[in-house]
Amino acid sequence: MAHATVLVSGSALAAAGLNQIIVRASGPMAVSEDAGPSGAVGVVTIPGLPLGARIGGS
Amino acid sequence: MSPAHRTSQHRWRVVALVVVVIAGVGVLAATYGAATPQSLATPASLVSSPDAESSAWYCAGQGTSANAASGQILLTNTTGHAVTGNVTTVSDAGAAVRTAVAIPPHSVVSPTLQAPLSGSWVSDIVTLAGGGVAVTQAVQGPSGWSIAPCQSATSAAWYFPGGTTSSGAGLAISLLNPTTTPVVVDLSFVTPSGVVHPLNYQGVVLQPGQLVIKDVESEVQNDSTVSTVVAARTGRFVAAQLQLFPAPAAGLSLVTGFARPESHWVIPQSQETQGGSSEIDVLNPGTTSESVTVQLRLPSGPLAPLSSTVAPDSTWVLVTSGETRIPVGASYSADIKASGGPGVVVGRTVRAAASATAPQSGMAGGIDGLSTMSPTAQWTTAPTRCRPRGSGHSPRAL
Repeated sequence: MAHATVLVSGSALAAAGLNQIIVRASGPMAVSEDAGPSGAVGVVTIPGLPLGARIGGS
Repeated sequence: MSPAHRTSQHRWRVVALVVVVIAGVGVLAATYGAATPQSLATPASLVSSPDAESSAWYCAGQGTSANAASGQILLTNTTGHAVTGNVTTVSDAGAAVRTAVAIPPHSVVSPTLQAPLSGSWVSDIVTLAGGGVAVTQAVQGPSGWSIAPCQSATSAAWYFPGGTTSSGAGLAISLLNPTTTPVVVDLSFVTPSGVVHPLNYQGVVLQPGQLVIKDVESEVQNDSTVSTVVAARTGRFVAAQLQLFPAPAAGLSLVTGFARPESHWVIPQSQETQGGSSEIDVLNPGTTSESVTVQLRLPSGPLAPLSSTVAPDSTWVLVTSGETRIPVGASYSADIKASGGPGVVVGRTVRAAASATAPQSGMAGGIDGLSTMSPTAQWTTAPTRCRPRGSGHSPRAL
């Protein structure tokens, strides 16, 4: 949805462990990761890296 | 300073909470793929195609065990085949050493890098025999930790919105020339009282392969907001900023530079905390005023926008924690648009209450419009748990 923000929580990401996480979308998106100790307040924020070539399924 | 040994003394802290934030960019969706002059540009960090013959990444801004920001790099192979390469680690003392790396398919590697024999700061030049690998860097010290993308391209200029030298804060700019020709750069600092051009920071020569560190706080003292512009007279280079926040709200932030002003930025996730403060820093490095609008959105809907005319060579410090329209504890996003010139550069600084779990302070750049327009509509996020330095080469395991 346009202008919507989705949070994927740490508990959901736990299944990924130390594997990489790929975000796929149907259009432009701003992706970031919050690894701070106090919740998603932005103390430790990491931007997602855009991929120059598509990988995997759509 | 002691030699630039990269030791395994520090155990990387286990991250307490990791959240991936995905914010839709509705307005851009309407023009996605449209041919605009900016569409010819690429983000400063872009994972190259898996079938590329080679790729390179530049990781500037790491300290060593000799200072407050010991560094490490992470290589994420998004492809189904192994990728090999070399990491050349250079120090600010001119020492360099090369380490071979191999990244198995669909794996994350935190390699044990050989240490230069001297120097207090290091940068890594990663050259790979193939594409599809994302490279990020992490720093850790007594004040906290930070993770930032490395840069996949050089530029003739780099911009850093926000930063501070007040209350004992440390601010340093790392300048790395990974090219084969000398580069001459000028540093300027945008402060609340105007632009500062320290004499010692003009005409800085970067020889091929050279790493130079410039302490900002020694030249721009006790300024609450210091945005930095580094411009080359000739050539291209890479740059990163390291911000050290002192106690009682300590923190450590590594911010890689932005190569250009842009007209659209997004901060996907923000939250105000009780007893804390935060701000959005909007730098206008251009020669014309920019009309800037910040659209804040709660999950329940948009708030009334905030706007300002940002004069050339100035930073609009929007203290979001002072905006009563933003409820404390509520998640919100910020969509920043600029018009009137080539654009602005956006960052965010956060200080949680001193009683919060460390690190309490941090800063990061916004998501620039180019990065929201991934050519594949795919992104990868960095693994946020790192190996201790010197503990081996195996992927995906602490």
